[in-house]
Amino acid sequence: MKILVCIKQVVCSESSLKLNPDGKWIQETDSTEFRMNRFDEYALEEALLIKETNPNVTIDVVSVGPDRVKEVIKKGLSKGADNGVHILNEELGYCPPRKIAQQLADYAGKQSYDLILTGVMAEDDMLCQVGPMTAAFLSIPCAVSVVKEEIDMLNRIITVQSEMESGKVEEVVLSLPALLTIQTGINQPRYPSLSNIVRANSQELIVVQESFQDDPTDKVLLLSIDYPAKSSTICILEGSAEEKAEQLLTIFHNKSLLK
Amino acid sequence: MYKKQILITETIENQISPSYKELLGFGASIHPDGENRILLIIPGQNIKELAEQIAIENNIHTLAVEHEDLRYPNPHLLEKILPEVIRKYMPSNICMMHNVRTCQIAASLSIQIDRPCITGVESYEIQNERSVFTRMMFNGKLIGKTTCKADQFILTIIPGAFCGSFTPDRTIQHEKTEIIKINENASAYKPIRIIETISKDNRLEEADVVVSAGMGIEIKERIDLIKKIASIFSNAAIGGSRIVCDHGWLPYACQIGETGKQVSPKLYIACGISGTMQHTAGMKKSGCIVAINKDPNAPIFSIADYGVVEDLQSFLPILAARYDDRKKNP
Repeated sequence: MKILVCIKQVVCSESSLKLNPDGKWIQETDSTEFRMNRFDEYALEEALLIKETNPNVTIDVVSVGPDRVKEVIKKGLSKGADNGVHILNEELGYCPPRKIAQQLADYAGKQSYDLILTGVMAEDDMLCQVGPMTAAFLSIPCAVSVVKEEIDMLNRIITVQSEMESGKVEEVVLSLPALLTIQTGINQPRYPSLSNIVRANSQELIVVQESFQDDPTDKVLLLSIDYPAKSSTICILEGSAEEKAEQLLTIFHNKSLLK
Repeated sequence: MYKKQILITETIENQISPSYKELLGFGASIHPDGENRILLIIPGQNIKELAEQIAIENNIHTLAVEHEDLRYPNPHLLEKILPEVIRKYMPSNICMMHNVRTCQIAASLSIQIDRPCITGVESYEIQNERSVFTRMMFNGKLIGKTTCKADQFILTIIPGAFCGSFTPDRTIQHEKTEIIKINENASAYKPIRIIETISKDNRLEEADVVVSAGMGIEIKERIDLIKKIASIFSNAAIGGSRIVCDHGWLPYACQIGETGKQVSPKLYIACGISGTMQHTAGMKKSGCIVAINKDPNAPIFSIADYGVVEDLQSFLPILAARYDDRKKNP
């Protein structure tokens, strides 16, 4: 059984984000920290758990992007993936989901994977599109926001619990090959093991050149990014921490909510 | 000159989501200068009568799409039927209320019918005769403005973001409700059942005050600080963001947001919560929102009534101590 896990390298959004001078993307400098998209970490962990409980499973991790994305592919290997695939796209800055999905599908379509996993969304653009778009390019069934899965290789089906709103989950059975987008909380992603780190450092990645695109994929244009505006009616409390605490208690008291 | 809009709503066991009214309001407002002709697509198991009723109530054209496997939202089945409907109707735009399933449909349709797709739209404006959509990015830390090259797009819009109400236009006569029965035996994606995972514990919904923890608390032990603050109120409950629950710092029964509980207490205190759309979907209707966050750019401040820019670790103990002082020396 072959599993492909699609991972994205994203900027650590805990650190402060600086904008490009043109305001179209974030400023990338030598000190910019990147990491594996948090949702994809859960997708990779789910693949590793499947490998632990099923025989003959190979896991490939793939990422689309410039040279620096090799780091997250290596991270994937150091957690236990078998092969790392780098679809080289030299463009820095924003890459729209359609383009990423097309690259992933072009590669995956030639490899006959039984299962493709990725995170529910990327932390940077938060569009939730790459998973379903990749499935659409490949014409395979897709379940999103998966919080539980169980494979039946004999019958080539996978039963998943797919999250809905307000605490509901839907149980769905998909035929394989299928694509799942994995939601956080489905597992606890592991740390890399020492032996896998050693292997990851020496293992060659499979590098694939970006495939030719015959139609313009940037139908959606990101015009600008900016910091969110504060609520126009917000009252930002001023003073020392003690003074702010007093002001808050007065607000709470006036609403008659305190004990 | 009129523009055609296809709006797609959802049903679960033949019950329509009440948010379709909001969707109609949005559809009617998207081209403010012209007439908007709406086709509302209602998929479901046995939905024809409901589709007719909605057509009469709102004086709009509706299309019922029926299949046994549409008793739950079924992106896989809809993706097969919708491209043909869209080609026939030739709408300017296709819009849905944003949620997990519609987002999947939007993305997949975008490939199948080769149209641009923007998910999670929070507002829109016309700039230089072009529609520009605003949405959250980077876990809510930044907002992005997006447009499409062609003015024909697929959108999912955030519930509550557009409050334009829908007034039925009685001057036009809407077309008769259509129905498509799908005969296909769709075995690749088979819905089985819906499971309620949320606890029946209603403390969160019934509390006057919700004190909520986000990743700003940094370590599990600081949940105790959140509990301490909750204890100063006469009727308070504790909530948390999804990621706090994912870390096991709070049970999922405490999760507030799009996929967790939706609450609207008199007072909501967001402690170290950045304020992504996924979280605010569950609390933005609160009477009063107090946000405590050390990051002055946190998006939670864009919906808060009161903002405190402080580190939780030092500020919450001060708040608790000041409360105790007041109790001792009223």
